[in-house]
Amino acid sequence: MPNVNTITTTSANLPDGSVVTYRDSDPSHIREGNFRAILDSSPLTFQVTDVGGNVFGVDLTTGGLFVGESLYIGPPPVTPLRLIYYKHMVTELDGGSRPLCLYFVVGWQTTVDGKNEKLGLKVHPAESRWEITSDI
Amino acid sequence: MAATYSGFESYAATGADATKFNLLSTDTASGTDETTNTAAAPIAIPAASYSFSYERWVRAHFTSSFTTISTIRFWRAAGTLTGTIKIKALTKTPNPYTFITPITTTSTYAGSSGQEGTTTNDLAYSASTTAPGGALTCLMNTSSTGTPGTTNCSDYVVMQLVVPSGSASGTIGSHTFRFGWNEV
Repeated sequence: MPNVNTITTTSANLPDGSVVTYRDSDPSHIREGNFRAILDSSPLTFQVTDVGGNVFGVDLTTGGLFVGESLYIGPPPVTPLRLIYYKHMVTELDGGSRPLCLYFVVGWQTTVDGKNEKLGLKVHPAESRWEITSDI
Repeated sequence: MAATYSGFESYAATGADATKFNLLSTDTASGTDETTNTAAAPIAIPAASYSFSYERWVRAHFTSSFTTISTIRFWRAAGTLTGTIKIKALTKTPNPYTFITPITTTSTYAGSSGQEGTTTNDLAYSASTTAPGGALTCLMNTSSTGTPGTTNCSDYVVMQLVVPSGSASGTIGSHTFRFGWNEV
């Protein structure tokens, strides 16, 4: 079973040139404070590092998605891009098993012709694979 | 760190919590004991119509380190129901975080009332770790009160086993229920 702590480090480049970084092992008030700072500052880029040291990120100015040094360009943004980031967890009701991180998502959402469009990286730690998908 | 999950069942008139989830256990006397075993208090197969288990009021509780929990889903992931025995379930509404003493008659909160013989409100099943389309959706209550925690509980999910007349006697075996959620 993959480690429940799938993400080790999170960071973002903000418009004022500052970089906000926090570790998954940081106390919750630090993580929450930094994450709120990222969300409230319209980050330019956002990236996470998994337990294997792999970096997954999104460039919120271009719609580009990057895995390590590889860059995947999405459709050009029409409206400002909104960050989408979460881990999807599952467990049995009685808590007999540790929560399993099925996948985590780093991506963006925008509006095109009044419709929401999404694109992102969906990373499946247990299967050591990732995909680019609008199903995020 | 990540969120620490605990699954709780609330029971009795007070909403005290336990971690037992035996749908076959009943308490036809007062609804004050969630631990009555099936040998002592089996659900009687009715001569006509339906019999019902004690309502099971369950919820997820999150502690430790996390920023947000959202998109909580609940479904049945393993186990076999024979004949037309059903497990009905709904997210409790209104006031989804307010506990009400469970009953052993047809349940509005579990969705069995009026739907005993239909598939409506049957708890969605998928053996996958991915929630099926019909999985129940819960909200995260950050201001809920009462045991086990004062905050960070999901809405209550209310479940009930529905046993129709003509059912074969015996147990239904073990079932697995899962919660899934998005976490930051």
